[in-house]
Amino acid sequence: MTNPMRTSSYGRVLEHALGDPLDPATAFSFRRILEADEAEAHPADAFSSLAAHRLNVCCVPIEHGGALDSYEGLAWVTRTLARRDLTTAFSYALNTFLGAEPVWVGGSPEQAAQLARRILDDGALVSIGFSERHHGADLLSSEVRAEPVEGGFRLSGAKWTIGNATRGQLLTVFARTAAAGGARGFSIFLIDKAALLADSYSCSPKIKTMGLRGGDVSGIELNGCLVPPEALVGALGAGLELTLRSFQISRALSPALSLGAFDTVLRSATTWLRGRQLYGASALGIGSVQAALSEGLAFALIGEAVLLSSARALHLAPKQANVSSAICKFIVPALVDQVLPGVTMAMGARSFMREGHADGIVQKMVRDLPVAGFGHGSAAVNLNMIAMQQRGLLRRRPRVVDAGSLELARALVDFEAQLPPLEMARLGPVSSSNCFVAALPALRGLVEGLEGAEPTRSELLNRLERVEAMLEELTAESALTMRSQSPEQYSVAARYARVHACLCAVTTWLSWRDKPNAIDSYRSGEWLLLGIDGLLFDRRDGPRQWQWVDRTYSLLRTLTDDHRLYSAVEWGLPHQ
Amino acid sequence: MTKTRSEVMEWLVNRIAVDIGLPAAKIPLDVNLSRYGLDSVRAIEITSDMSDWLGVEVSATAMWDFHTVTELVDAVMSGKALTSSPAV
Repeated sequence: MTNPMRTSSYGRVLEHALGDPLDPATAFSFRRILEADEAEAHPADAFSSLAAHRLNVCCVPIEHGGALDSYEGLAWVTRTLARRDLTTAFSYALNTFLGAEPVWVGGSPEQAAQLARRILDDGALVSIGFSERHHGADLLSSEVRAEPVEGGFRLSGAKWTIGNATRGQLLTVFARTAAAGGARGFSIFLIDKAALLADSYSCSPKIKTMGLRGGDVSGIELNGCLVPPEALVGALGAGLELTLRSFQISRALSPALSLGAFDTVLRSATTWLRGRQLYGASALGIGSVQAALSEGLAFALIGEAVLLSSARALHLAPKQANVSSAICKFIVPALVDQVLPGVTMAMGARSFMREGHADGIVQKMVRDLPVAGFGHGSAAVNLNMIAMQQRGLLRRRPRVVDAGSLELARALVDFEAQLPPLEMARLGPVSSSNCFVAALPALRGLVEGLEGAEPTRSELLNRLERVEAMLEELTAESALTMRSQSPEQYSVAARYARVHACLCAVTTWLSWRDKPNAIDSYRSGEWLLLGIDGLLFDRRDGPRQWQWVDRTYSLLRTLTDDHRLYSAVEWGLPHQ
Repeated sequence: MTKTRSEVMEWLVNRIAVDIGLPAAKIPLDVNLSRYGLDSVRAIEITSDMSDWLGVEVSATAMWDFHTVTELVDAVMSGKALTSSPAV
């Protein structure tokens, strides 16, 4: 079956098909989303709407008959949904992708084909059954076990805090296959609930949560389920390795949840404050309000650079993907966390109300956003992933201009440009290079050569010198800090992630400022300086350079007034 | 490979000693290292450092398959624990 849909271009189609979320008549309106949230009810309208748009098709790679040709495309689709509702964005397509990805990466062709049919033909939702009540991210303590028996494997034990455990039709399960456990003691199984005996499993009730209140986050208990030998995904004992390889795909994509939700928070704050009259004028005229919103925009643009380049790296630099995905999953939610309080504070009490402006969507987004941070790999999990490879990455970093790294970095920020197919076999459990960090000397050369870009040029050169100094510090510290999972090691990892984000943003700006339709206040680059100072230098007393705020605020107004996503890319939003 | 077996052994023992917090002299050569609390992800960190030090790529998961110091050193020296793909 050939499918005319392509995930690479579907985000833009979906954006307009779903309509303006402020229009209460649409299935995806903030009003309906909030009604479901208030009732802690499954967002049925939104789900039906996505089923009608065949969104599940976006999660199935084209080689298995689906539309998924670009992981950057899947990030855009997720961001488009997350702008409206995190509950749906998380639990509809993305969650199915999470559940299915070990099969796409390590399953047999027959297994992948069968799973694809269930998703494409039956609209099946797939869950990821990895976490357990007492073990969280400590996968090697998992108690669910699979014993080889005649006719397959018998699975027993409970998985818990699983998205769509109850509503979903299939799930992948991480299970102990050697009593002693260890790195080769676990395996992954694909289970189709329809093929199980009804009394061999039971679902536990939906867990009460602060956010994602309409989402099905529940558990499943397997009571000696018999599954056929073909349910095993990859080799027996390959569960951990397959997990490390496949999660780097979803960890590069899932921060689209944070960015989509934050776009709505920033947009709602800006539009509400525009109409708010204080002291005889619009509240948007107040300097501290402009500063908070501008810093929000700068961080949204930096977050986008990290997100989209990480998704593109899966295709263009799979050997780098392990570290770029971990950085992405750590830093993008952290960036949003850093600027969110300023934006909601500028809105004041309105950010807290479950009614009023935009039907009170901001408070829902604020309640839902933490899930994008801790879900599917918390900050600690990702810092650990960065930490285990940072010493080598830092030590091997080229100190001289490396044209290859610059070329790769520029390809990673050429958002929406066509991508080669993702070669799953090249995704390894550790990265040996990072082109953004390796491109630093070349980026300095490019900035030095900028014409007509003062004062941004000299300010940016100064910042890049400081980045160079930071990298030297990190290299020295990482050579000393040997104990794993120590605060010192995680501190190096966190600062390395911030440097990576900074260099992604610089590369993005250098590419996108030259586009013919670039907005002047984007091209002049004050947003980048504002963002870099917030990103690299812990500045708790607000931005110091007023003209940077002023120009970034101008960019915010242009993007908001023109109904465009807070993005380097020209991405129009439907509006009434 | 420019290093000798004893150099590789010495490097590995010192590296593991720091990681599990024991003096190098106390690191057993023929006991499964997971008994000393060396977990799987840390094992990847060690093999990654080893690749960096040796200048050849040791399979990231080599310590999952070669469980003792002696087994790992033998596998590195014989090439069994090395990956064929170049570092990118």
